[in-house]
Amino acid sequence: MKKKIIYLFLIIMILVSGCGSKKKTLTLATEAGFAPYEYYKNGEIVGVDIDIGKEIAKELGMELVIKDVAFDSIISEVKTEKSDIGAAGISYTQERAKEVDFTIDYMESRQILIVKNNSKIKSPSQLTNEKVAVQLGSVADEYLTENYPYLTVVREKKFLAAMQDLRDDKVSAVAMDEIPAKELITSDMVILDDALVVDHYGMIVKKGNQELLNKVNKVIKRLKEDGTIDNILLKHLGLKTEKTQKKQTIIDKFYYSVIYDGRYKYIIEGLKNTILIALGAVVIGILLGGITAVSRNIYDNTNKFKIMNELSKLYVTIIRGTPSTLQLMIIYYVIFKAVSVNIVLVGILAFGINSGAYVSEIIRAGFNSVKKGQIEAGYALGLHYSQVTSKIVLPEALKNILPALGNEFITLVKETSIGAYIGIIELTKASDIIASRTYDYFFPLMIIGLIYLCITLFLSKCIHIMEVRLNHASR
Amino acid sequence: MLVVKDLKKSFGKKEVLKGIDLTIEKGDVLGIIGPSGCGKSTFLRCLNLLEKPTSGHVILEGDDLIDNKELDKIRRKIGMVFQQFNLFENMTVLENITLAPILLKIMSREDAKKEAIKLLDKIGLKDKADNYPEELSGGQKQRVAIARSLIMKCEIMLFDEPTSALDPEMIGEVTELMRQLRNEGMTMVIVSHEISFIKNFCNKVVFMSDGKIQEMGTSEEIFEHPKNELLINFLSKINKR
Repeated sequence: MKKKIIYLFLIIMILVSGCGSKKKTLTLATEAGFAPYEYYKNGEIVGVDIDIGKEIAKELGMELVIKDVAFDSIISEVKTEKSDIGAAGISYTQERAKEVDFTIDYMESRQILIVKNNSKIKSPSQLTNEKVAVQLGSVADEYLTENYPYLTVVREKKFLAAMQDLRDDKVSAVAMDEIPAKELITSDMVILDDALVVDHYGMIVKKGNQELLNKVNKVIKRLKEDGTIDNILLKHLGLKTEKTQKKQTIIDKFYYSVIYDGRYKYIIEGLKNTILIALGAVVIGILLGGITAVSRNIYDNTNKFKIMNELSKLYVTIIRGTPSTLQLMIIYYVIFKAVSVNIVLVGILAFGINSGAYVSEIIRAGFNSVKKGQIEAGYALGLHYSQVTSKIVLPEALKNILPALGNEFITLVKETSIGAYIGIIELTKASDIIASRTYDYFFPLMIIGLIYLCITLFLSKCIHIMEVRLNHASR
Repeated sequence: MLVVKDLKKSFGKKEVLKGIDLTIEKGDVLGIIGPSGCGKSTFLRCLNLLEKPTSGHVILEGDDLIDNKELDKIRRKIGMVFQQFNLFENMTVLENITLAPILLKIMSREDAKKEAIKLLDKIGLKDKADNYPEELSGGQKQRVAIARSLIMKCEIMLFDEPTSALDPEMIGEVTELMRQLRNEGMTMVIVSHEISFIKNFCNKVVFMSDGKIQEMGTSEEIFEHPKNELLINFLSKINKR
């Protein structure tokens, strides 16, 4: 029976991956918070890299699909064939070249320092033991870490956060690419003339995919020679972003954060996915948690289901003993490595499996909360295990289980925010997208914070009503 | 009716029962006394296998309960009354009494209800049928617990300190009901530290100490003419109080 299930699973995997390989789409992985190379505009990801990607797709006769993931995830996206190419202003480094193949470079990038106008630092050579903010894993990060051992490098997940650090005087400088830097600086800042280092951007493909590499190289070569890339860059740099408008009022900021460009749509999309994932995960969690808790209870009471009991214990131990972010990434990048699958579904599955372990313990605690005497009275009357469990233990235990399950659901709603790691647009990612366009974190973060709070307050209220009813029912 | 042969029970390394032999005849009202920790409650709980003996036999009307696949069926014949009553807290008095006969398909729902009402009438709690256990006094709870066993038409009843958790003014209503059962010929095994109650109520008494039966006899033999030194010692301590 077990073998049959394994075979069936294998067949499904082969079918699914088979379907995946026949696709007529070219998937490009990027992180859309890096204007002008990739950023959100009118709900779409656009930018220099995207336009080049479109040219490549056109040349290959394929349709371009853009996938927005965390910068650190782009290489694994390409390695695991979840995406065909990666383009996010990625500089050539030997370390990266060990993991993936680089195309010829399409852009020269200068890593520069941004400082406040009144800063004493006038050149990179003056850096000694200051604090400098960078984007985690960016070229500037690697370069500073390697060449300036006395610096304190503040590694932020986003350029915007790095800029915020400078604005708040938490750091003396920000190190990053010159072109996006021009987009990001405000009037109180200046870009130093001397570059830290000059780099070259390339796109990445899976190691050994020579066919794709050659085709992409050919397109890039043509675009460079006929001046298309320069035009594309100018087009995107010429964009007037909101930050150039001086002295925004609160109302302006709110307007640009929520209404302008239909940005509320990101929040709605994020809210939808957050709720979808939390609901789906809680269902899977209850199923998994129920099965494991009951099989452990059966084993404890009747010594049957020994293997299930051991498996359940192992499952709970592993899930509770590792970070949920890690579990999410393992499920996405390792287990679903070769399968193209809806990312929200992956989220539901990952959070569901995670939640199941906690639900399992909640249910076990509920079972254990039933007084032993109640159970003994049942046995003494001649009832057997299943009757005692279903008629006496379960109804009593539910009084403790249901409110705890409600709290688990609240935790899940908040936990979904790590879905952004694999590119799910849930609430937190939505606020990130908006902030990457407005260069202002305040409103997006406050708004989603408020939404989380509303959801959890609403759920708390539901749990409270449920508790009152349950107490009433036993009266 | 109930025969116990060389019954032993250990909790981990601690041996609580060190080999007990006992025969209970139909209609016997047997009291078990002894210092606390002597194993008398454990022994009682071994009689319906709420505690699984480490070795030995418990034989009810020829059926050995140990490793018996039909244990659930045999348990129906053995009623048990607990110190803490152990009524099902999420069920009404009526549901407490009718749960087992309905679930085990011994009676139809209607018959079980009729029978329960009859029993409630007998124990004087007909008006409490729809109340929940937490609305009852201790004495009322214990009477309901007895009725819950009676509806199973049990042939022998085990009482584990039935009055210890009761306020003094409620002990009477429970012992009165037990007296009624005794007079109807119910076989009873009672563990209690209410020595005067055992003395006056039981026709046979067992004195346990250190995991063994030290002396066994009629109530008169045990209390008026004790032979075992441990028993003499035990009784003298009690009389001093």
